[in-house]
Amino acid sequence: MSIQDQWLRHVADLAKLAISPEDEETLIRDMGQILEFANRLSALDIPETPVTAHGRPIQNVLREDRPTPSFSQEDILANAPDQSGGCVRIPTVI
Amino acid sequence: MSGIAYETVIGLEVHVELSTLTKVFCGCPTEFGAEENTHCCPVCTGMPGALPVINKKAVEYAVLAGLATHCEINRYSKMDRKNYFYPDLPKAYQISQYDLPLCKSGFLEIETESGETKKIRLNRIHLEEDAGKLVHAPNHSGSLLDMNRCGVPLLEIVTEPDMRSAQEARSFLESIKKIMEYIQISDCKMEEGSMRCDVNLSVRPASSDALGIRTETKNLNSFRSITRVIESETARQVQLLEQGVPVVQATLHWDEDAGETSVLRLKEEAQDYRYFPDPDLAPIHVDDAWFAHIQSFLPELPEARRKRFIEQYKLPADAAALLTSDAALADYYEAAAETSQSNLTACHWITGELLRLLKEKEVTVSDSPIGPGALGQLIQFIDRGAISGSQAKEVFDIMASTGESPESIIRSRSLVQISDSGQLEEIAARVIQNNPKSVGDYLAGKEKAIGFLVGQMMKESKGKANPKLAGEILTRLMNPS
Repeated sequence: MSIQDQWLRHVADLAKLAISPEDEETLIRDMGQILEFANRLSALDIPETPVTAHGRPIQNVLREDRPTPSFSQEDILANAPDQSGGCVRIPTVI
Repeated sequence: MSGIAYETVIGLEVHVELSTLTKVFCGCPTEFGAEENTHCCPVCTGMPGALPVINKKAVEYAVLAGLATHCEINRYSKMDRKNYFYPDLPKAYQISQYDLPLCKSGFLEIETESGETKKIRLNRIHLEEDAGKLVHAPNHSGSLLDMNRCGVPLLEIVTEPDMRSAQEARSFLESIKKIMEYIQISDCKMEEGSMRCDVNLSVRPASSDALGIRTETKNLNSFRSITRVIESETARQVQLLEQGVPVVQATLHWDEDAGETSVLRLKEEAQDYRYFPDPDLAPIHVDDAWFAHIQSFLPELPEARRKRFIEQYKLPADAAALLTSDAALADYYEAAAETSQSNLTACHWITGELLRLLKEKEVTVSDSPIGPGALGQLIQFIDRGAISGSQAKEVFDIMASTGESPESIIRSRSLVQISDSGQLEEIAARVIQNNPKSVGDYLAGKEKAIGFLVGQMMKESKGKANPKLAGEILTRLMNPS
């Protein structure tokens, strides 16, 4: 397995995706191009620019510690594909 | 066995749930034990488009924790997304802090087995959100998810690998728990999951300075499990090294019943979490005014208070440590000492009778059936000699069961101690007359016989005689000068 293959499988594994062998080659090429594009940023020499933590110059958007009403259990579970005893039921994970 | 001595190297990641009223990014309540999925909203269940807003108090609590553990506070901090898939995390990322945690480079001092003080360095303390709770559905018919805990504010306290034994890890955790309780940012109830711990552990030959390959055992919620994990992981890793098999870096799960660890997943690297700044949350800037405001909430910490108790109240070291092990107990002591005007008697009664009572009733000091003022009054009666020690215990028990004041109990049950010499002399004369053998023994030099005679006086007076005076009067009557 080439380094690119291993790397693609690792990323797919992190994203919990099953990738078909036919798609592998295309994906390796596409992702290579994306990385190459992103790497152009590293080439820039910008020592004076501070690390950006946010896209806009804002800070301290905070709220007071005061409760607001929660949703009903029924509303929260309305999106769940399956439920049991007030909980979302999912395939066994533990 | 190769005969090589191994050393265990332990670092801890302690998770502490903050006792804010609401979650860290929404106004849902954090209260423990509610009906499943009733403390939830679109923000904490990760609905697309929902926008989180940081709870100001959670930030303040995190900074306070840093100040209490000698950390540097990052005045400029931000929240990041840590991406991973697990069903208890509905957004598929946890909002945490990566490269700009609120607090860094702190330390705590613990006492080691040999009684020495050891510094345990803290790498960082950061703010993050808790995940939901998963339980088994009956008959293996799936897992059940309750999202009430999603978004409850958590502090993650990360140490350097500075501990060398289960005992040191325990001391560290006890110390952290005590501090968090003192600064009142968490109740640290391990049994309710509001304090949990991951153990990072590796072993190495005792002569080596290089760190071995470590494993991380997740989510331990009792001192007992933590101790057992440290013992079992140490043994497992030493055995591997003895066999020449390398330890594999992995995240482990502890099975309390089986008493062994199993592999949860092979360790992910930080890059696998693809951290990036959360674009929905603005960075946090703790300016001077805000910093000073938070600092003003920092109370006297356990270590300082312990030292003050020894100096100010002249208490023995072990009693001072015991009384300051819990902020509420230390407050109780100070209030009782003030009312009673007797530091040592107050200490004696609290570390003895009061703690026994609390244990028996299974309540905390805050719910004590006897308040510090009432105990202080009882101590005044004792110190004045108005009631005897055994009477005081009786009054104490009545106070505990009825909540009556010591004064009313003493008055209504005529418990007042007899300190009147005339009355005591009458009783003493009777006792001397009725016990010629003991009197003879005493006069023949058996000093111990006096104890028996005082006992007889206590019996005659139904426990009301002042034993000290009784002894003095007996001695005087038997040795007419």
